[in-house]
Order: sequence, then C-alpha cells, then structure tokens
Amino acid sequence: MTKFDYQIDINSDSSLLISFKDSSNSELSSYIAQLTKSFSENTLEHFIEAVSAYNSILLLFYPLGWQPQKTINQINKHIELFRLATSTQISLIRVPICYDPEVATDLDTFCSKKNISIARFIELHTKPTYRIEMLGFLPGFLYLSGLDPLLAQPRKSTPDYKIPAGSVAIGGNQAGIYPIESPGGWHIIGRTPLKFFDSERSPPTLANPMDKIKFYAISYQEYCGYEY
Amino acid sequence: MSIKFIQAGLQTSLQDLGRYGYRSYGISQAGAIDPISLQLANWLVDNPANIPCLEVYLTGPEIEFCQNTTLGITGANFEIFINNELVESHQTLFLKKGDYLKFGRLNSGARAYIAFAGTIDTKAFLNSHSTDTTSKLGNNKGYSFTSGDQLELIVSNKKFTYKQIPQNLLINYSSNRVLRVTPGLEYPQLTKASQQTLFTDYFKVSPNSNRMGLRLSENQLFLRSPKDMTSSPITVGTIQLPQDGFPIIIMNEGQTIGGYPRIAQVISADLPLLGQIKPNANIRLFNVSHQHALAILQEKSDYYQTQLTPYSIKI
Repeated sequence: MTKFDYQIDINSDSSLLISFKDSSNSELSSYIAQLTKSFSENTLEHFIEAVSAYNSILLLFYPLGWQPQKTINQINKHIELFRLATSTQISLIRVPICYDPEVATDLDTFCSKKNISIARFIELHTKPTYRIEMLGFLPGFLYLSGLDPLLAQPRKSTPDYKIPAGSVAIGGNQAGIYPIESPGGWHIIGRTPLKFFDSERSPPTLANPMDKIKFYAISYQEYCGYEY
Repeated sequence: MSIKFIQAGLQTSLQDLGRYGYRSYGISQAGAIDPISLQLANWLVDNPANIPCLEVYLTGPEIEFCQNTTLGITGANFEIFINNELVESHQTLFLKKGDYLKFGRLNSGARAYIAFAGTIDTKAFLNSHSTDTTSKLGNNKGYSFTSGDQLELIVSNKKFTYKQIPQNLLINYSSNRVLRVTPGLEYPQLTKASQQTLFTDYFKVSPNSNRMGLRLSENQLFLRSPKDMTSSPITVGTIQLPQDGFPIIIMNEGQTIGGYPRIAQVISADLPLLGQIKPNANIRLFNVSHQHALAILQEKSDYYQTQLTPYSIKI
C-alpha cells in the first residue's frame, strides 16, 4: 500500500485543503481521484463536496456549527483506513480531432515556432495515450497529462477572448479540451466534434478523471459531417 | 403567460440558493450572490426559502402582470413603482392583473430579489434553477432575461398576510464597506508591506466586476518571490492575486480551480454582502481568525432566527 505524505490546512471557515507533498505523478493522481470520491461516500459531518486538483483536495462544509479540528481528526482516521482499489472502471475514449487550419487556428504559428511540420505535429500529438487528470476551471474542461515534451509550449501572454467549444489545446506541458466556448490562454491546435459537456445530458460530462484518451485525426469534411 | 418583461433591466436572472455537488465537474454554484435577501424575499410571500427568485442588478426591470400576483421585494434599496406610483420595498406587494411594476433609482446596495408567491414554472438543471451566466447553463440556458421575455407563474392560492422585513434586518448598504476575511494559504508569501496594505488600505471595486468575481483596484500587492503555483481548487470568497498585483474576490460563478496565490478568504457570514457591492465602491478587509469567523456566523444565524421564527433561513 502506497502512502503519500500530506497535510491538512484550514483553507477558510468552511473548507479544508489536503495537500500532498509529492509532485504530480500517475500513482498520486489515482490516489487523489479515489480518495476524493471516497469522501462523498463517507459520512463527514457538515460535508458538501470535494474537489480535486493535481496535488490537493478541497473539502467544502456547511459552516454553521462546524468544528474544523474535529473534522480534521475524522479525515486523518479516514485516510489511515483508506485503501486504493486495485481495479477501477477506467474507460478509453477515442477522440476524433480535426487539425485543419479552418478550426486549428494556432497550429501554423505553433509549428513554425517549434520548427516542425504539421504532419510531424499530428504524428506526435496522436501517438500518446493521455490521461484525464482533472475536470474543472470551466464546466468539464479536461486537463490531460501525457503530452510529448517536444510539444510543450508556454501559454499565450494575452489570453484569447473567445475559444470555440471543442477546441483542443496545449498550455505548458498539458493538453486540454475546451468543452464550452470560453476565454482562454492555451494554443488551439485542433477541434473535436465530440461534445464533452452537454447540459442536456445527465451527467453532463462525457469523461471522468483517470479515463484514458486517444486522439485520431479526421479531415475537415469528416469534422463537419460528424454525427454523434 | 403570467408576467412579461417590458424592460429586462441590466442583468435580471432567475436564481435560487445555488447548485451544489458539481464543482468536481467544473460547475460552480451560481445562485443568488446575496442569498439572505433571496430568502427574505421568499419569507415575505410565505414561500419555502429556496424558491427561485428574480435577481435584479443595478438597473431593474419593468414587468407587466397578466394575473393577480403576490410579490416580495427586498435586498438593495431601489425606488419601486406600481403603475407609476412609488411604493416601499421590503414588504409584501399585491399586484392585480394588468399592473406594471417598475424599478427606478438604486439608492443603495446592488442586487434586489423578487419572490413570487408560489413559484415560477421552470425546469431545474442539476438540482437548481440558478442561471449560470458565465458558463451559460441552468435557467434560460444561462442567459439573463431580455425585453419581451415572458415567465409562467404557478400561483399559490394561500391567503396571504401582509409582512414587512423586520426593521432590525434592513441594511443601509454604504458605499464604504468592510469585509471580514481570514488569511489565505499563500498570505505569508506576500511582502511585509503588502501584508499590511491588505488589511489597512481601501480598495476600489473595478467596474468590470461581475457574477464571477469582484476585481479590486487602487492598491497593488506583491509577493516576496513570485513563482508559478500548481492549480488548486478555489471557492466563493477566495481572494486571489494574479500577476498584475490586483486582487480578485471569487464570487458564485467563479472558476472551481485557480492558479493564483490565495491571499485571503471572505468569511461565510460576510459572503452575502458581496452581492450588495457596487462598482466603484470602496472596500476594506478586516483580518479575523477562523474560530472568530465561525462564532460571527453562529451569532448572525441566531439573530436572524429570533427575528423570523418560526421561519428558518440558511445563513
């Protein structure tokens, strides 16, 4: 059983933050994902919800009558007894991406900065199996790990005002997918016709943290004619 | 059709107490920025506390009523007219079919809430009727109402007793506000001078503030040694410090994960006040401990309960 060093801080009068000392890695990611989920099945008093990030988990509580120290003790006990499940339901989602300049608005500039051809870019970008590290910042925004280090590129200094839904992007050493139209500072290198967030659907998200993602290239014609 | 917006106002949207349990999907709570006023509006018309209300911001709407309706309006202090006749806010109002309700000048505060006795006929999304205008989801697909929009009311047939918000619960919102905060996890990373500025100087609320966040200007704050932070979860009331040095107070439609240092956190008891702060207002932050923050909340809750008993609101 892997043990990760952590500390619990009172983040506000209605929340606690569990921070892990290890830098982000795949083992820690699955631990955080499962531990986060375990809190919603556990019975912590005043508990509302848990939100995970790369190396931390935020737990939110109804503050009226809440005793943070008592909850911290309960959490320590919970973590002590918590065991990582060996097999969990992980899906592999195949995601079509159109790399046509019509929708991949930053791809040309990106490749000339990197001094690689678009064909080489597509090869490097579709090769890895990515993992969803977390959803968030926007409804269903996918933070993906697994990007080829050759394709890492710092974010834009001035964010774009409007990025279309489905945009596939690179920001630093992370890959991401914008599920809804929003502002953003990542480089837009493709677009998927898949709807990763649909408020008419229940649950509204298509994928979950720890799910695997594999990209494959489609033409602009295929993109336009894509049926769900 | 039960009511019709002749003028929709600047940002009139349907809100309740918010959407909880979906932050791990990146969905923030939305909901009334001043949830106490929303609940008091519902109290005025004998509704359960979490019935969706119209949230009115800075410039209110003009509404035509196509059936007899009982209303409760409270929160910000607006001039209110029924058929061009000035009436008082903060009380139960009885409107007849064909009446017009019009919002005039805003005297203090920023957001008023209109409760309808009964409810509004809408579909909940993820257990809430709130409109998330940033992420474009929830009621009306995430849009504020526009002129000409209509709403269907499900009117309650109860017999109503006239009510007024108890005088002790009315707030005369000043344009100089003190918000109580607890130090954030990255507070120690501020320079000594900035730590002091944070809790002593006035900040101006920038006009480009919205339901996502209040942007503060006037005083720039600095970190001892600026460094990139791993993105971490944030919550309503988190005060973040972006690279430009001007703090942002995260509000109900703020993002769920953020990459900027968290320098302070507005205490739960003062979160509803965020909804009543106007652009260009001056605010000052007052430092309290977590323990004190929880004691203030308990005291506030007890106070409201004694004023409103047997009705119960969520503080």
